Amino acid sequence: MMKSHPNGHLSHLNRTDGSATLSNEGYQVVASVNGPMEAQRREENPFEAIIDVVLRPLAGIGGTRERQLESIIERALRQLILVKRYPRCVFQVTLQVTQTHRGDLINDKAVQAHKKLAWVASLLHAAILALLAAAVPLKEIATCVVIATPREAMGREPIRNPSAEIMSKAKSLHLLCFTTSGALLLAESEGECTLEEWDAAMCAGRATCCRQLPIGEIGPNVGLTGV
Amino acid sequence: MPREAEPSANEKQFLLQALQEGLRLDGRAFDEYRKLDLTLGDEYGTADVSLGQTRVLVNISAEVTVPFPDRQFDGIFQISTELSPMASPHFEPNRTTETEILLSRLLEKTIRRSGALDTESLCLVAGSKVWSVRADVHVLAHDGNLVDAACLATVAALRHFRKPDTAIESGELTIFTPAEREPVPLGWLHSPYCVTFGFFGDEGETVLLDPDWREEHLAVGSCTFGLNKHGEVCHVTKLGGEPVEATTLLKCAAIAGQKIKELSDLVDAKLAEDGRRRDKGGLISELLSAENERVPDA
Repeated sequence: MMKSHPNGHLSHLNRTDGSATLSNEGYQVVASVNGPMEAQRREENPFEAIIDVVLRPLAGIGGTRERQLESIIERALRQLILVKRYPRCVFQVTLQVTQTHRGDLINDKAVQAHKKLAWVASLLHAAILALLAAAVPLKEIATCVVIATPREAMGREPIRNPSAEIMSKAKSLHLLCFTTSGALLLAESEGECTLEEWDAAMCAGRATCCRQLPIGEIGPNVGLTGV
Repeated sequence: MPREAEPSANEKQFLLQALQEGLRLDGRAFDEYRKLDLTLGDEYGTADVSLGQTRVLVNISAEVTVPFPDRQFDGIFQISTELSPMASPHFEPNRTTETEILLSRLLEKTIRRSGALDTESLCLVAGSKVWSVRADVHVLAHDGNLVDAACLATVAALRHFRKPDTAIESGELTIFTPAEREPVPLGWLHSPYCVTFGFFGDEGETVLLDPDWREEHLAVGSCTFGLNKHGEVCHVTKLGGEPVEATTLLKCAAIAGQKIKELSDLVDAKLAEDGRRRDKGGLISELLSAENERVPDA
């Protein structure tokens, strides 16, 4: 199958402050952002804004898996949005999956775990596009990439944005997310890897996400101390 | 979540006065739909309908389950309509609103209770294995008249859907993957659609077809007709609001009868176009097809 390029569409829903559609390799997400709005009394935070991420699957109602992905995305977005500037407010981020491969649905019970990381990348990109469309004040934006560390037989070089087939055969998978200043925002891994392989994956991820930075600044230690 | 902002007094007065002068704010005729568009997905069973700014996406999925004990020969068919904050900020996740209940009840009446989907054909082994078909209605943008858009999308998605083919040999059920056998369409009996009217004026004498969000809020009443293109009526639903003259309702029914033809022509045309797009043609596709010869219901 031909590898298709990611495709985006901005501000196409009229009842939200910002919306975006992102499609990538047969997987499509619609994201919408409302906010800043007044938070409900019982959940407001007097010092900063809360971010309410809702992930809705294409078929059925969300379960534990969706709640987990929501929390990963919520933690990442919290670092990007200027939450301190909006006390007692809420930003509502809704992510609706609108297309998956049909194979994913038939065995819905035994969800392929390796799909999860690739999903987070699409979901996070869609959420950031929607935040930009909603003109929510952000410290910086972030991009993410999935890196696969192949097994011995497949070569030693880490593979960027691997296809589903490579993902299922890879030794380990890493989702790495970097902000525009080159700081590491999110790192989720699956499988097992050595320290050298982890370093190689980090280097490949940083080189993909932070291409705009001068080479000298893309050292292995830049920005790891936090955002 | 914030309460839904209602149209202001100025907006209300402006809209009502314009209606008295025979004008709608978006320049439509009183019996005209907004621009209606239907897109069928690359995967089977996905339909995306946009009606003006309203946008609804429906996805159909099927799995094999155990039937209800009191209905051992019937498959399971359910429609789920959960409104998310994407549709409008005042919808809170996991909390049902009146809009959602009305939408789900109208879809239920139009599609499920009218017997559009033959649930007996979903039965595989009586009492132990049936198909459970689920329609998930995702409202992406709510700009009024959700019912018509959601009903059209659900019907189109169900007719577009293909379930995996199955075979039973000496009591053993085999479900074939799409690579082994072409998936088969659902047993479909008729295609009902909804047409909604809003009533304005002191006695509901002004009738608007397909009210948008603002008009919906200012209407004194509304009425939904569910019928198919043969003119068979599934339901006429007028929930609350001002009483309306019987003659007005009869006029509405006549308009609904005309509009239903346009709606069903649109769905038929799109499904035929999608079928042509997928048709690889030739002997191979004829041999691969597991579909029985049957007269397609239009």
